[in-house]
Amino acid sequence: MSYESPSALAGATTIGGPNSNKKSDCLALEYCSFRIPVEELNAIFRHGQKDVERTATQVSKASALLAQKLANATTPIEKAAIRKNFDYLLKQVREARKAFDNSCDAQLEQIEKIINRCDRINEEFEVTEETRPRHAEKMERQQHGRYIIWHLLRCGYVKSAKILVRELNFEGLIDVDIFEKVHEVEKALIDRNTQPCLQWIDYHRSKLRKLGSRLEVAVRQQDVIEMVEQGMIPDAVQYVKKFLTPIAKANFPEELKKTMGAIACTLEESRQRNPELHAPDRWDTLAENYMKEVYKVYDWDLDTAFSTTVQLGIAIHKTPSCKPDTTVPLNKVKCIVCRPDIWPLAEHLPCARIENSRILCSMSGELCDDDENIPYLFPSGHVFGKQSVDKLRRGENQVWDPVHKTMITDAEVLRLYFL
Amino acid sequence: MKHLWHKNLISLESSLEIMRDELFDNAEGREISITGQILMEGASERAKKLVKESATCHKTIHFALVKLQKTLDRNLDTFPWVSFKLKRNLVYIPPGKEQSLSMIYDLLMTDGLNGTAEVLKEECNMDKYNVYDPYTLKQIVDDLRDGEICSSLEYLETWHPTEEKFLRSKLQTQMITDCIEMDNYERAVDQLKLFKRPWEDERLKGPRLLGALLIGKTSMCDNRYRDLFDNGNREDIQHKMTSFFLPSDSPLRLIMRFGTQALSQLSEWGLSGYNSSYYVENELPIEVPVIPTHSAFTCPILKEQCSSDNPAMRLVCGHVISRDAIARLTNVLRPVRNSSRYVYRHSRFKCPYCPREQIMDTAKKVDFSKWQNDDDFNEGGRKMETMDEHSPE
Repeated sequence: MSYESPSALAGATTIGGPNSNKKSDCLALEYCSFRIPVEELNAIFRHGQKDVERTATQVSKASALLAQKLANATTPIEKAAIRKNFDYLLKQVREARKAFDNSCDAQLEQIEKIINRCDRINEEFEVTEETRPRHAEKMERQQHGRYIIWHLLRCGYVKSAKILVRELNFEGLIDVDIFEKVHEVEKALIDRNTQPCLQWIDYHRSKLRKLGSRLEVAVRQQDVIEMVEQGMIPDAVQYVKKFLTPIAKANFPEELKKTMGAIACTLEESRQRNPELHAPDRWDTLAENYMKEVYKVYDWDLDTAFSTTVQLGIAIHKTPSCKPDTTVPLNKVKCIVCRPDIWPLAEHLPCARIENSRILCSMSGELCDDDENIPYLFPSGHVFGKQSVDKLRRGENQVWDPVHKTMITDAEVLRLYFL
Repeated sequence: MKHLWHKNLISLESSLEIMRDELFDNAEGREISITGQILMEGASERAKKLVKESATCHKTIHFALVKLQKTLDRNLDTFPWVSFKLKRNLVYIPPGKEQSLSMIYDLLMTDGLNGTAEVLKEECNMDKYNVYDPYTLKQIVDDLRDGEICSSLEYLETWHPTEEKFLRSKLQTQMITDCIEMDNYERAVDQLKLFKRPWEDERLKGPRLLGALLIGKTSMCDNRYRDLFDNGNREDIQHKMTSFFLPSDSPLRLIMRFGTQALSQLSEWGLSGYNSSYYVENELPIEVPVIPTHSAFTCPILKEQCSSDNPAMRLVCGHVISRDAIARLTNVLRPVRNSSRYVYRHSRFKCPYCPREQIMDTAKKVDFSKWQNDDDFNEGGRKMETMDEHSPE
C-alpha cells in the first residue's frame, strides 16, 4: 500500500509538464493541496501507531494472564475459571484488529486523496495543441477556482468556499473540513471557550512539540487568568498544578512564574504587572496566535496563491505613470492598474521592468517606432507619432498643436531618438 | 501490507472464536482437558506474537511517510521565489482583503457561479456590488460554455444594446465553428434556420462559414477558413455579454492569467542563479511581456525608468535620456555641487551618443502622459479599442 505512493507522487507530477526539468514553478502554489493530506496522514499514522501499540500490549497482557492461569497444563481446570481470561484475550485481539484496520483505512483514504490530486493537477500541465483551447480554458478555470477557494478559506469564508467547491465539482480536491475545524476553534477562542482548541492541540501534539510551540501554555494561561478574574483562586491553583506545571515547567518557566504571580497577588496588582495577560482583547490575540500556529503546523506561507498571482499580475502591468483614473467610466479604463478599484492593491507594488522603452503616441496611443510611426516632440512636451502628426498637418510648414491650440511650424516639431 | 495483516488478524480472531466454541460451549463436562489447555496456551502465544508483529509492521509505514514528505518538499517549495516581496497580505489587511473579495465576487458572477457569489456577499456584508439580473446572466454564461447561444440571442433581441449586430455575428460564428469542431453538422443547420440574417454587414462571411461547414473538421487547418476559428472569440463574447449585467467587468481572470505566467518566468529566472544582485528597488527583476497601455521610458544611461521625479529630457541632438543622467554627466565634467543654480544649468556636457556639446538649459522635458481632448477623445478612444480587441491573447 503506502510504499508505492511516493514514487507514484513523483511520477504523476513531473513539474512543469512532461518534458520539463524545472525543479519548481507555479506548482509551488499548489503546496497546500499536498501539504495538508500529508500532514493529516502523519497525524493519523501517529495516532494509529499509538492505538496499535496499546492494543498489542493489552493482548500480551491478556495472554500472560491466561498463561498464568493455565500454569503449564498439568491437571484439568474448571471451565469457569479461565473462561473470563480467554474471553478477555479474544476481546483484546479484536480491539487490536480494529485499531489496525482503522489506522490503515484512514491512511489509505489520505493517500487516495493525494494520488487523486496528483492526477487532477497533472491534467492541467498536459494541455496539448490538440486539446486547446477548450481544454486549456477549463484547466485555467480549475486552477483559478482552486486558488480562489484557498483564499476564501484562509479569509474564513468557509460557507462560500464550500458552495464553490460544490459548484466547481472539486470534492476531494480541497480540504474544506480542515479549515472548517480550524475556524470553529478560532471562533470558540474568541468566545472564550478553550476546549476545542485544547482538543486540537492534543491531536497535533507531536507536531507542536517539534515546533517548540507555546500555544498550549498560552491557552492554559488564559484559562487560569479567567479564573483569577472571577476570583476562583483555589480552582486556579488546582488547574495550574494539574495542567500548566507539567507542560510549562521545563520549557517555559517564565510563563509559569507570571501565571503564579497573577494568582498570588491581588487582581489590581496583577493587572498592573502583567497588562498583556489581562488586556481586554487578549482572547482575540490568542485566536490570532492560534491561527499562526495552525499555519506553522501545516507549513503554509502567510500569503495565499491567489494573493501571489493577483499581485504579481498587477505588478507586471504597473508603470511609473500609472495613477487612478477617475475621468472615464470603469469599463473604459484601458490600463488595469489605473482602474480606481484596482489601484489600492497596486499602489504599493513594485513596477514592471522594462528593458526597452516603449513610447506610445500621446494622441492615438499607438506604439511609436523608427520607421512607420516616428516619435516627435511638440512644444507642450507631449510625444506624437508621425501618423498623428500627419493628421495634424494643416498645409505647408504648418502643424496644429492640439494642446496649446496654436499653429506651429515644422521647426518646432522635434524628432526624438530613443536608444 | 494492510490486506496481509488484516487477513492474519482476522484468522487469529476466528481461530480463537472456534477454540472458545469448541472448548467452552460445545465440550461436555465442567473441566478443560490438559490437551485443551496446551492448545489454548499455544493460541494465546500466537495471538501475542501476531499482534506484536502487526504493530511493528504498522511502524514501517513511517518510512514510506517520511519518503512521501521528502518527495513533497523536494518537488514543491513553500514559496516560489524570494526577490519579489509582496507588499500586502490580502488575507489580513482590510483594504486589500475587501478589494480582493469584491474582485472574486465579480469573477464568480461573470463565471455563472451565482450560488457562491450570493453566499459570499452575505458572509462578508458586501453591498457595494450588484448584478442586475443574476439569473439571466447565469443562464447566458452556462449556455455559452456549453456552446448554446439561444439565451444570448434572446437577450440581444429583447434589449437591443448598441453592439447587437456585432455580437450577433460573433455568436453565430462561434456557434458554427463549435459545431464544426465537434462534427455536429445537423445542429449547425438547425441553429442557422432558427436565427435569420446574422451577417448583414459582412456578406462574404456567411458563405465562407457555410463552406467551412461543408468541408467539416479539416477546414480548421485550411488556409481559406483558418481565420474563422478564433480561440479568443468565446472569451470575448462572454466578456461582452456579461458586461451588460455588471457595473464593471471583472479583470481578475486576466490578472491571474498574467500572474501565473509571470510567476513561472520569475521562478525560472530565480533558479537560473541570478538572484538579488540584479534586483532594483521597487521594480520586478525581469520583464514580462504585456500589452502596453502606457509609455514607459527606461533611461539608456542609468537603466532606470523615468517618472515625474526623474523625467526624460530631449537633448539638442534629439537623443532622449533622463534628467538624473544629465546631472551626472555635468557633475563628472565639472563638479558644481555647491555652485549656484545658474552655473548648474549652464554647465556643459557632451551627449553620450554623439559628440555634440551642450548645456543643461537646452534640454527639453518630454511628457509621456496621454493627452486627451474632448474633440479627439473619440478618435483616440476608438483606436485604443480596436487595438485591444486583439490583445487579450
